[in-house]
Amino acid sequence: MNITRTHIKNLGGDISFLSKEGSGTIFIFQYQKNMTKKISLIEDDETVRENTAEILELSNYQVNVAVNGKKGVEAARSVVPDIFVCDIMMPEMDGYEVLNELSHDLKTSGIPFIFLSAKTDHKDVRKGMNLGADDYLTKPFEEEELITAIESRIAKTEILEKSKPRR
Amino acid sequence: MNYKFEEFSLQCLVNEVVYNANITLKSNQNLDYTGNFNDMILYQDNGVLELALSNLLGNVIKYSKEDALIKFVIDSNKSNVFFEVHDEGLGIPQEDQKHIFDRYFRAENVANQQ
Repeated sequence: MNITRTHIKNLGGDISFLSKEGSGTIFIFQYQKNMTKKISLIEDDETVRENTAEILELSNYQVNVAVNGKKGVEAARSVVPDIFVCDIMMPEMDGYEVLNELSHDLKTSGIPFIFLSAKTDHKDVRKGMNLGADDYLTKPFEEEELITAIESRIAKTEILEKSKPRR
Repeated sequence: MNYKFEEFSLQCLVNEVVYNANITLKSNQNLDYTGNFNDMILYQDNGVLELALSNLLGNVIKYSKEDALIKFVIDSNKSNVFFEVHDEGLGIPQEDQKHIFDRYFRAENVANQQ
């Protein structure tokens, strides 16, 4: 049991038990479904998209890229990510529309959403946050700034998830 | 230890674990497993999870009486899978429970029985 618990903990899980002498025991393994978190990166600028994806992959995230808002929304419906990182000014569907669309879909409405934009005006930031974004980073951004923003949003979501009663 | 992460079907893993556990059941012991995990794909270390579940079920079978019913229940939420193993064994004395995950520890009531 000692070694088993060590492995389970190393893999992001836990083990516990309930027992009463003479009445048997219930052992419970809790195990993460995915060891790496999936990020949906929606960005039309090829250079920014590739550089950002590289930064995220080096930080051990699985990155699903989309070249515009419309493709990002479509992709999120088949593979639901753990977080969205999304540009604002894009063809087909801009970042505000992406957030609005995802917010109205039960599958994606609770997923953290971060804007990554060159629009630095206070009004733009306010607009993004008022639509329900969890954070708003302006380009150019520091690697650490992006990673910290993602980690903190994912951690917050996990805490909320753990506090929900199991079905 | 270096872990090897890969995508795999939870159904296949559970089938394998249950099949192997069934082989080791004592006379008239029954292993009943239930779960709603159709098509669930995990991205984890398949080998380590299989080993952990096999160890757990193996221990429960070993320390359960003949004709005992062992229940293996699999449940999940958005990010986690829960594996529950219910036995009808001796139970773990309260004073031993804090040591159950200590290396080489064996509960007093089990040691006395053997």
